Amino acid sequence: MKPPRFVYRRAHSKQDALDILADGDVGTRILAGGQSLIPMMNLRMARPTTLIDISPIEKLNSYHTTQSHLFLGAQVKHQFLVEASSALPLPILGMAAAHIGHRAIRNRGTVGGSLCNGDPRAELIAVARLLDADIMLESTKGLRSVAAREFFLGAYDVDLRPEEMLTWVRFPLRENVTYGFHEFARRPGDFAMAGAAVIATRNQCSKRLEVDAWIFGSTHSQRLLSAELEYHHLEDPAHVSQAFARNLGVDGDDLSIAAIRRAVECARVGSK
Amino acid sequence: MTYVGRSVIRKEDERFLRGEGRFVADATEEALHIAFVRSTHASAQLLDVDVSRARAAPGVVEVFDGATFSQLAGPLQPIYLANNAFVDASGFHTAALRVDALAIQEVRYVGEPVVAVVATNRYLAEDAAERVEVAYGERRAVLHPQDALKPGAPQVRPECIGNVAAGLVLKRGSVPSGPVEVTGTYRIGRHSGVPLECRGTLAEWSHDGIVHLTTSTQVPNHVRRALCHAAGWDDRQLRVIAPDVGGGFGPKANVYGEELVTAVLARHLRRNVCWVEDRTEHLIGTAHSRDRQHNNRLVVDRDGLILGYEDDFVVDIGAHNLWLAGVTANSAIHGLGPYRIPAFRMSGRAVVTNKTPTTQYRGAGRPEACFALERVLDKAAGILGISSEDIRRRNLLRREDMPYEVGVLYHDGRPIVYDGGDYSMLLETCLGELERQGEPPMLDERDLVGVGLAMFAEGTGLGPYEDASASLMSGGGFTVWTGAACSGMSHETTLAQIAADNLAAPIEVIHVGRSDTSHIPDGIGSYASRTAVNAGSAVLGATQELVDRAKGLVAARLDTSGDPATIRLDPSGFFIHEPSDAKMSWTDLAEVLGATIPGADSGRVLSAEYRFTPPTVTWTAGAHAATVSVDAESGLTRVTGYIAVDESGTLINPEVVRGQIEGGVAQAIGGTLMEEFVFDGNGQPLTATLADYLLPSASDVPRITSIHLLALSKGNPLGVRGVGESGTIPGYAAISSAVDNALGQGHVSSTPIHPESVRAQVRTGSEK
Repeated sequence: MKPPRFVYRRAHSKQDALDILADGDVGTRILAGGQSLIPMMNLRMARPTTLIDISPIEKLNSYHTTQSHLFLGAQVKHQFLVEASSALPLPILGMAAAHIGHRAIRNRGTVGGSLCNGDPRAELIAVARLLDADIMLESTKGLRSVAAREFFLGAYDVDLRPEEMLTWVRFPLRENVTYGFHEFARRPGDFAMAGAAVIATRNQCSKRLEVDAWIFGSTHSQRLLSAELEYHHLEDPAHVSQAFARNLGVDGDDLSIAAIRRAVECARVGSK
Repeated sequence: MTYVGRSVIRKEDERFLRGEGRFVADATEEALHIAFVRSTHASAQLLDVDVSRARAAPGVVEVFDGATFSQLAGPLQPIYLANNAFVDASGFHTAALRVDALAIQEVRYVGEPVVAVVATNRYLAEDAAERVEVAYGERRAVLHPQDALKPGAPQVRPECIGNVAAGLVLKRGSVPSGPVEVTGTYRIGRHSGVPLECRGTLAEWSHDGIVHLTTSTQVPNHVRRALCHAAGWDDRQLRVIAPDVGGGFGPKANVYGEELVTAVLARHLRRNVCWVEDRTEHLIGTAHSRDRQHNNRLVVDRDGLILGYEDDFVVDIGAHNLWLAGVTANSAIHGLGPYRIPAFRMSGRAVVTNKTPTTQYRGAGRPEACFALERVLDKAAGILGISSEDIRRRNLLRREDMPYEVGVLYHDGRPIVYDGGDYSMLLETCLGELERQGEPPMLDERDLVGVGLAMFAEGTGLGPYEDASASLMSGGGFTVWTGAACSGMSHETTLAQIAADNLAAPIEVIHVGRSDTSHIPDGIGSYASRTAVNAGSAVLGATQELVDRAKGLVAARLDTSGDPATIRLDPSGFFIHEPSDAKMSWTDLAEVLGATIPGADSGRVLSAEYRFTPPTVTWTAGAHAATVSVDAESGLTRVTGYIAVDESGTLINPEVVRGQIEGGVAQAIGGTLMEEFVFDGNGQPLTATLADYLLPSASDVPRITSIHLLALSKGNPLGVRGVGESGTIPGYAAISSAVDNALGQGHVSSTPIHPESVRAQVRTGSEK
C-alpha cells in the first residue's frame, strides 16, 4: 500500500497552481485535503504523476456572502461547515457535512476536494446540486462557471479540464425557504445507504409548499425529486411518502423515501 | 501488601500512552522489504510466472516464486492436533494439510501469495511486484460448502478428499423423539479479529547462523516449531521474539507463509528482511474465521425440559485452517451450554473452499455453537408459550449438580466435567440486574426496543502446559518470562502481580519480559483463554521455586548448618533466619550472588523454571443480556445496553478483566451487526478496505455492565478461570434475541443482521 513515484509541488498562491496546471498534463492532480486521493494512491488505483498541494493558499480557505450568494472557497474544511453551521446563511451545509466521515477526516477534507472527487455518494455533491450552486473553475486562460447540476457527469467524472482548478463554489440564497437533511448509514460517518437533502419553498400565494429533494446513497443514484404539498400534508408522513414514491416509481417502504420523509420533517421543524 | 485481586495501574500504560511501544514495523529501518504478488483468482492453474522484468527493476535484490522457494523450504502443517483418545471416541478425522508459503502450480484463493519480491524498500518492492507477470488458467471456484460437497465438485486441495477437511461425532445416549421437536438452521457469517496493528515480521540474520525473527504473534513457540519443521532447520537455528503486538484475537495465534518466507529468505540472502502487512493484505490474506452453519433439533417436553439435542454443523474453512482440529472440535464440545442435556448427538464437518484461509478467532467455534443452541431454545420457548428465561431456568445446572460430567471427552482427551459453582445463579443475577436497570433506552421515539438473553459454558485454560522462568537480576529486581505472548492483554501487569505477591517484592521491580524463544524454548502461547490459567500458574510455580532456591542460598550464609527450613520470606521482602532473627534482602542476595557468579547471564544471578500442566480445561459460564433500539424504517439496529454476568475464578486484576469482557462484547456487536467478509460469485473479495468491512466504533458500543460471580477453580493453584472469550461467545445470540424482542415477530437465524433483513422481518410481520 505504497503509491508509485510522483512529483510533489507546493503552490504558494493560486497563480502558482494555475501556472503549473497550464501545460494541461492529465497526470497532474490537485492535492487538497487528500482524504480520498491519498488512500486511492496508496491502493495504486489513482496514479497521478504530479500533485499540486494547494494547502498554503489561505485565500481559498474562507467564505464570503453577498446579498444574493454565499461563496465558499475550495479549501474550506468540512468541519468548519459543521461548526459554523448556524453562522452560515445555508445551515444545510453544516447538516450535510456532519455526516462526512469522522472528525479527523472532516478536519482535513475540503469542499473543493469533495466536489472534484465526484463520488456519487458524497453529501456535498447532493447539496450543491439541490441548491443549484455554480462551480467556479479557473485556469490561466480565465474563469469558467459551471452549474453544479451540469458539473457532475457520472461517478467520479466531473467537468473539470486538465488545466483548471476549482476555486470557489457560489450558492444562491433564497427567501421563504427551509432546509432539511437526513441520512441513513450503517455507522456514523459511513457512506449513506440512503440520504436526502431537501429545500422547501413557501409559495405565499397558493399557500402550498414546493419541496425539492435531492437523494443520494447506495439505494438510488442521485437525482432530484419534486412535489407540491399542502401545509397540512406535512402532518401526515404517509402523504409525504406517497407524493415522492410516486415520483420515484417505488413504494413507500423505499429507504430513499424514508430519508426524504425525515428530511422534510427536519425542514418542517426548521420552519417553525 | 498483596497485588493479586487489585486493579493495579497497568505497567505498560505509560509506554503505550507516550507512543513508545515498539512494534515490528518500528524496527525495520535497516531491513530489505518484501512485497508479495498475490493471486487475483479464487481458483486457477499457474500457467506461467515471469519474474524477469521484476528482477531487473530498481532496488530489487531477489525474486522468488513457489518453484524457487520450494527448494528452500517445504509446506506448513497443522499447528494443533486433537488428543488420540478424543480422536478415537469421536471418529475425528482431520486432513494432513500441507500449505505452501508461495503457491505452486495452482492458486486457491484471491490473496494467496504467489511471488515474493525483495527490494531495498517497500515502495520499490511494490513497483517491482507490478512487473511480475502471472498467467492464470482460471478454473471454476468452489465458494460454498453445499457446492463443495456435491459429487463431482472441483477439488480444492488434494489432502481433502471430497473437499472434506475434518469430521467428527460426539454423542451420548440416543436422542429421543419427543412431544415437542424444534428444528433450526443457524448461521454465523465470515468475519474475524481485525487488530489495529496488521501483521508484520522481521528476520535478522546473524553470523552465528541464527535467524532472529521478530513477529507480531501470540504464539512465538508455535511459530518456531512450525517454521523449523517446514524449513528443515534445527530448533536452535531460529529464535522467535514477540515484540509489542497491537491486537491478536486469534488470527495472530496462527502461523503464516509470510513468516516462513521472511525467515528463510533472511538466511538465504544473509541479510535482514522484513514484511509489513498492509490493511488490504490483512483483510484478504490474514486468516478469517466463523463462517458456519448449524442444523439442529431440540427435543423438549411440554414444560420445556430438554430431552435431547442434535446439532450438525458445517465449517467453511476456506483454503485451509492450521487450527482445524481445535476450531472444529470446539463447536461440537461447546454446543451443550450450561444445561443438563441427557442425550445428544453433535456432529460436524469442516469443508475447504476457494476463499481466504481461516483460523481461530475469539471464541473459536464456540459462538456459533452457542448461537445455534440459544436461538433454538428461544424458538422452543415461543412455541411452548413460556418465557425465554423459564425454558433456561428449567434446564440449568445448579450447585448440587456440580461437578457435572457431560459424558464425552474434551479434545485434550479428558472427560468433560463442568467444574462450576451454580449456573442458575448466573441467570437470576442477570435478570435481577436487567430489572434494576429498568426500561431499555430508546434512541429515537420512532424506534422499537427489545431485550435479549443468552447463556454459554466454555472450557478455558487449554493445555497442554505453559512454561515460565523467573530470575533475580543483579540489581535486585526480577525478570519473568513465559511462552504466552502478549498482544494487548496486560500480561506485563497481571503476571507481575502474581510474581510480586510470591516474591514479597514491590511490583515496580518486576519486569515481565517479551516472549522470546531464547528465554522460553518450549512454551505454547496466548490463546484459548489460557494465559491466566497456564502462564499465571507457571509464574506462580517459577517464583515459588526461585524463593526456595534463594532460601537455600540465604541459609548457607545465615545458618551454621545451612538448613533452608530455618529461613522464611517475610512479607516485608526480607529473608529472616528464624533462630537468630538475622535478615537478608533480595538485593543483598543479588549482590552476594553477583559477586560469586562470574559472567552471570545478562544480569541474571539466580533463576528458576516451572512448567504448569493443567489437569484439563476449567469451565466458565455466563448469562448475558443485550438491549437494542431498532429503527424499523431503515432496519438500523443499535445495541444500547449490555449486561455480562460471568462465573469467574480469582480476578487477578478486575480492571483488566473488565477490559477483556468489554472488548469481547464489542467484537460480538461487530460480528452480529456489521462485520462480514463478502465475496462475489467469482470469489473476489468485496471487503478489502475498512470502508467495506465495517468494524464497530466507540459510538456503536454501549456502556457494559460486567458482574462476576466468584467460583474459584480447583484446576489451578491461582483459582482462576479464563475470561478472554466470555464477552464474545454469547453476544451474537443475546443481541439477536433482543432484535426479535424489539420487532415482536420473526426469528433472527443468521448474522450479521443486515438492516435490509430487519426491514424484511418488519414487512413480513406487517403483512400478516
